[in-house]
Amino acid sequence: MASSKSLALFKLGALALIVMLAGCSAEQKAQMVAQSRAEVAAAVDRYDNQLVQPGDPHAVLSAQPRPIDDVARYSPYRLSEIDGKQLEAATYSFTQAMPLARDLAFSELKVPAGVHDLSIRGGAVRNYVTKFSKVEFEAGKRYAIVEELAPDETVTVHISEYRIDKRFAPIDKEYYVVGKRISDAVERGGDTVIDIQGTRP
Amino acid sequence: MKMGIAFASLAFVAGCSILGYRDASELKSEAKYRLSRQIDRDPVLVYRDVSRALAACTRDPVAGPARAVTSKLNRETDQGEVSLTHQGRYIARYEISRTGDGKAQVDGWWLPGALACQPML
Repeated sequence: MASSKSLALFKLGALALIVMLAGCSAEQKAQMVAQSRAEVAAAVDRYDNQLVQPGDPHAVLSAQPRPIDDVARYSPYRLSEIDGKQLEAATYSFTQAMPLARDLAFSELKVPAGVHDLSIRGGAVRNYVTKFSKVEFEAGKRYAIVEELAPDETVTVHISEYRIDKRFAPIDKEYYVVGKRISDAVERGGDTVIDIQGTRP
Repeated sequence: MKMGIAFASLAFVAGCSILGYRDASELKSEAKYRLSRQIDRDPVLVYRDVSRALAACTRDPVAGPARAVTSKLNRETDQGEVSLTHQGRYIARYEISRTGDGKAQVDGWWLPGALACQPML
């Protein structure tokens, strides 16, 4: 009788210990996740603000998501170079969480107002580099890197103004209501202008 | 022997159902499952929810890589089309439009292989 009572007490104690340990580990895990998210957000913020000083007139540039951007092996379009200056994607560290390429691509990179030469990286399983020359950014406007098929089925990339449709999330392509084009459509991975007048809206 | 034939038949039917159709109009005429209803919601929001539900099926670790979602929204008429393909063949299709009284008209066609991908409408 006494042994069955002590066994029951032992089981209860063991259960309480397991619950306490599980609770503790869940709390630690939540803290680690929150810390990782904060580190990623800080890295994305550094990336977005690296080209301008506070108060400088600027436009914002991000990539319009494509369905295949959901798949990890496809790299989304991202500005990699402006007027010959390489953009710093992130500072590599063994101790801090790193943003993914898509975190940077769909964030709002601040670009100084004016005319710039650009290199856009990404677009497929491999990283294509697509070059644009003399693209004019107006202060206060939003621009998106947009992929489009030319009439001859060539994959082209261009930069357009866009406005936001808040019924969608920034990761949805419909969030970007694409408007006036400010660059030529260039063949993905090259500097060849595919259309001069042909597919312009 | 009979069991074997039954299994082979089932596998054949399942294979056919996953295979899909090369053309959306072919899917619409042949689909086993259909839906046509009006919903008292913004058609653009219905289009968004349908797109997300079908896109979730492309993240499946087994079938996902073979699947793709294509969607098109006409901003002027609020008409939307969302298709789910498996290895380039249509297995589900939804068409959303705005009715005269501002509701969403939803028409859907899908095969058994896309049964798990259907949106909650």
